[in-house]
Amino acid sequence: MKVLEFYGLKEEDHLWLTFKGAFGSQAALESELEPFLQALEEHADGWMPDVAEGKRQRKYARAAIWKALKEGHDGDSTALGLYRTEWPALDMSLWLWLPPRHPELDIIIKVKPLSFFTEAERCHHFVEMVRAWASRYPVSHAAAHSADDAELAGSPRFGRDMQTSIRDGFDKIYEVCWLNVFGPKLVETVGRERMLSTPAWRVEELPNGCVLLVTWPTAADFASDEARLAQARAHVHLRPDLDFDTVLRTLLERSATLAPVEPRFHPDMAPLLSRVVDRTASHARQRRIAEFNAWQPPEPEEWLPADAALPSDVNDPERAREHYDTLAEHLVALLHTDVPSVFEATPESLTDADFYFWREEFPTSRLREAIDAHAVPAIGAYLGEVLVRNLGGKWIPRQKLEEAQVLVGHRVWLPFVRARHYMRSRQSLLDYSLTQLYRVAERHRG
Amino acid sequence: MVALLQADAKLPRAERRALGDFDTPRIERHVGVWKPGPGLCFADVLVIEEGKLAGWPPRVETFSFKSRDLSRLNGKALEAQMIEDAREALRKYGEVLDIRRDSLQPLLRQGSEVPVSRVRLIYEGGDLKPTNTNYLDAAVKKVHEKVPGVEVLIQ
Repeated sequence: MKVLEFYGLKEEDHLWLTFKGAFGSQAALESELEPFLQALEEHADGWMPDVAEGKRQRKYARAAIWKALKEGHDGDSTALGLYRTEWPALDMSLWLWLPPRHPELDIIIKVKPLSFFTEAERCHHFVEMVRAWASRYPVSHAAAHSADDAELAGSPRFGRDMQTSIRDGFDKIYEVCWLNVFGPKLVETVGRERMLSTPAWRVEELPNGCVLLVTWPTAADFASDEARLAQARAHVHLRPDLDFDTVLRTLLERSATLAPVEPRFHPDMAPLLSRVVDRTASHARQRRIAEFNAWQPPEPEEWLPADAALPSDVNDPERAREHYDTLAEHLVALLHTDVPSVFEATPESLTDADFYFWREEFPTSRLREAIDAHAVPAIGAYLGEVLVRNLGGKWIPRQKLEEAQVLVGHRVWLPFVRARHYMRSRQSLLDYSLTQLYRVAERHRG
Repeated sequence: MVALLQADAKLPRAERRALGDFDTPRIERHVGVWKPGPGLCFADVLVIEEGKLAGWPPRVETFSFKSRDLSRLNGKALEAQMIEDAREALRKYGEVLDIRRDSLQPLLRQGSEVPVSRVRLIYEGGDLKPTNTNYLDAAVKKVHEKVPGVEVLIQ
């Protein structure tokens, strides 16, 4: 029974639900939660959890859930995780606040990918599940939407600082999601009649006074022009103080930000940039691809024509080469756990190292003195060694590291100078990548 | 982060973002503090009131910096991790502390034990923070409710 790790897969857009509802404290917890589980089992169409976790993971079953809630018990709360072993990935949590606090259940659901919710029937089931929950556990606000679009919308802070947003919550209609349940307070701020007359795919008053509002039949195509139009109409109806054209334009801009962009990266840099892009949060990824499509790495300048090479000024060239070898070993020692390919000293190892330093934000997350004193010499020596081993390069040792050169064809390269430029900032890791210097040196090998 | 606090301390009190509760904040790094239980620990930053008129005991706040990859934790694990970190911060750097640093003793006059007004747990931001603010804030809200006295911030 191996859970499909939600964050083990490539990060991509997913359906997100937040639901906080009150429940009674009189009856046993099991009977209070029974309607929650029934609606989940009836309506989780193709994404039903099969693993329940308190401290341990068990196959989904009632008994497993009660055990998990017992295991997760921590004073006035308990928590349960619900997952899947197969695609689509699910990360669902049920947090319960218990007496002496006012009992509340706090559900977060993430189902990945969002494209799983393309079919109207599946989306209908999802809505029915939330409707059943909201009818049983009164909410102040619940919502389901594309996680990426919610992030771009500024949810949940909507321009407030974190503390204020946490304190005040969703206290006015900042945004309309694909699926919304508005509690009595929000209904009151808008006016019940007005809310019930909202132009939307589905508007329904629940027996406890909450209002369920679904803008559009399907969740996955939230970014289409038609879905955006429906979203803007509903939003402006609920917030007459907002301007329709402005709201719609903002929504369409978000759609444009999320629209897929075909990567057309500089060929030298494509292997590195693809990995940087994969690591970028999905709501920002397409924008980043567009930036990298437009970006050209500067041509490396850390070289001299072979006939202008500085002659070796060391007494014992063999010892100097051993020193470079030792420095290069320092890089292997530093990286080998995270980047096992450094042992190979191939061009691919350089790309792996580039990505590692970028991912770690190495130039800013480590002490500058340590970078200059240890990392830069180790990287320079390692780069030189890769040129020597793979392109038939030859060290021309110098007393000063920065002047040490590697002769490849008709050029001598200055790997320690490159390493210094490289380690200046996170952007420098891309502007002065090891990958690119190698590719250019390879082309000028002659 | 320490540089940001130092800059904040220099602003007029009304304009400060982090240290507005102090009259004259004095920022000290890696301060040895002792408590029964955890014993001797070192607070990443301890801020103590230096103003003469501010009364006794001097206001003290502590900061604990964490560099932890929160970006790949599922929802339940994220909440559990942050609650655990907050409890640890409170246990080591909160409640009542015995401040061991000699140079601070003149500010402590009547003895080195002082109550801590607030502990702040600061996580490194950037790629280490959860990419989705909804999930981050939902977890922070739970931490604040489960561990009062500790404020969680993301750098």
